[in-house]
Amino acid sequence: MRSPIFSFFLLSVALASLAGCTVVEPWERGALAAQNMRLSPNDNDEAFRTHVNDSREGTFGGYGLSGGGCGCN
Amino acid sequence: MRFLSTLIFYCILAMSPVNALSVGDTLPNISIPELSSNAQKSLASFKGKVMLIDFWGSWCIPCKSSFPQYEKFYGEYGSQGLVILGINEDQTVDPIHEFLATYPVSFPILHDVRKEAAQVFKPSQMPTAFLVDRGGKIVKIYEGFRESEVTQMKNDIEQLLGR
Repeated sequence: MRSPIFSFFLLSVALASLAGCTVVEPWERGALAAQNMRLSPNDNDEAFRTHVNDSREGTFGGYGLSGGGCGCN
Repeated sequence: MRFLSTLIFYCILAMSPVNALSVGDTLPNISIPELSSNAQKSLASFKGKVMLIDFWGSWCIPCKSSFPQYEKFYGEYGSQGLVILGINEDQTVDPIHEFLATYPVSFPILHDVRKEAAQVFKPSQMPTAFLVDRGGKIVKIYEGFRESEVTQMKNDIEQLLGR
């Protein structure tokens, strides 16, 4: 049986974590597209690294390089 | 437990896009600064004209296709009473000018810097265009931009212009 204090603590943590839940509205997505939000600031460097990983390790992706979800490249 | 699940439910409800303007709603009376002059433009001042209110951003890829098309619409129907307003949602003006240098338009661009228009219209994606009749009522909402929908848009505009 948990004590009321412990339950209150759990509830507080749960409520505090809810503060991190937010929806990025369509008109706010420009912030996500900003240059400083990218994993790599340099397109060529990113392409090179992706190519190296692809050829040496057989891995690809995770950098956000190209592709708009159309499946055409 | 019940309290927590109710709380989570209301949090999810609060995050959902409720109260967005929809077809049949009247155009809200809000003012947004124009990009070129910084003068406040009231949406109500265009009442009596057919309006296409387009929400866009310089970072929005489909907007690169929609802008040349809307410019064509404006050139074709502007003299017949069509007003096109491009409401931009960028945080700063530099990217807007860069975008407009590549995709120039002659219709007014408003900079919704305080996001007042976006909070009222709540466009579901970028771009989203609201077609408004002469009475100030929203008659159609185009979410996103697809070349395949251009003919339909054209027909809708012509119908409202009474051609």
